[in-house]
Amino acid sequence: MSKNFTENKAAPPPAPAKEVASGTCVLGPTLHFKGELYGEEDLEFQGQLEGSIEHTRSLSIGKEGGVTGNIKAKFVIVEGRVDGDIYASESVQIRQSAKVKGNIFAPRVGIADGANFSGSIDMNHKGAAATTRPATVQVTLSDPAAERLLTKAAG
Amino acid sequence: MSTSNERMSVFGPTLRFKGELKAQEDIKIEGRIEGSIHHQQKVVVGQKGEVVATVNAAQIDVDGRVQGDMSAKKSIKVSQSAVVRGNLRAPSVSITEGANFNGGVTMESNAGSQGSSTGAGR
Repeated sequence: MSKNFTENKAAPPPAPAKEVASGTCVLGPTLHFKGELYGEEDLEFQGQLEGSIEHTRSLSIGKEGGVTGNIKAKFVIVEGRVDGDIYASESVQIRQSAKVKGNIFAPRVGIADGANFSGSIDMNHKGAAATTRPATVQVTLSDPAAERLLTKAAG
Repeated sequence: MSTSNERMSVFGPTLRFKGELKAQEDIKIEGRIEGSIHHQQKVVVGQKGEVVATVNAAQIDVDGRVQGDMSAKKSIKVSQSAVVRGNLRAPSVSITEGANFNGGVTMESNAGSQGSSTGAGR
């Protein structure tokens, strides 16, 4: 059984809560995207997007921003409008000015007083939480101890 | 006009976009865009920028890589670090020595581009 515990590789260092704002890329309010957007840098989105966003870092949908489609990122902050599902591996924050219609999948979710949200929230979603969940013990069937038990029961 | 840097959106180097982009403000592209760009203002393709798309804008400055046709209402500038494959169409086109350019150049107002033609070149 101890094998399972050794499998927890050193947990990733806690991400700095506020990543450098200077590196944030801002996409302005007159931009209209139709399609898929991928990114690996902090992004503040003030434009309109129809399609999907896949992001590996922090993504904020600004007050003037609007997204129709699904969003995947590490941190998501919504101040604008989102019609679609939001998946975050770390957290989702719905700010006061936000209007969100869709489902949220993230281990941590905050919805500010005054925000407009309709949809459901799932904090145990595997896809969203898998990368960050600390030390959930999984017993796989290939585990020698489990296998011994099974073969013993069968025999 | 060419130095209106105050409100320029930057499409960062790790961003990748596939689809249709429309905008009415100056934008600098340092990431990768595949599809099409319809723009009312200035588009700058930065040194790290990679565009595989047809580009329509008022003004286009290329420092990076572009594969596709570009047409501008005012001007197109291809700088030394640029690698361009495609046709250019604008009333004024400049290509700096050292740039890598393969394609055709048409210097006239881009009738085939966006509406609201300013009648330039007449």
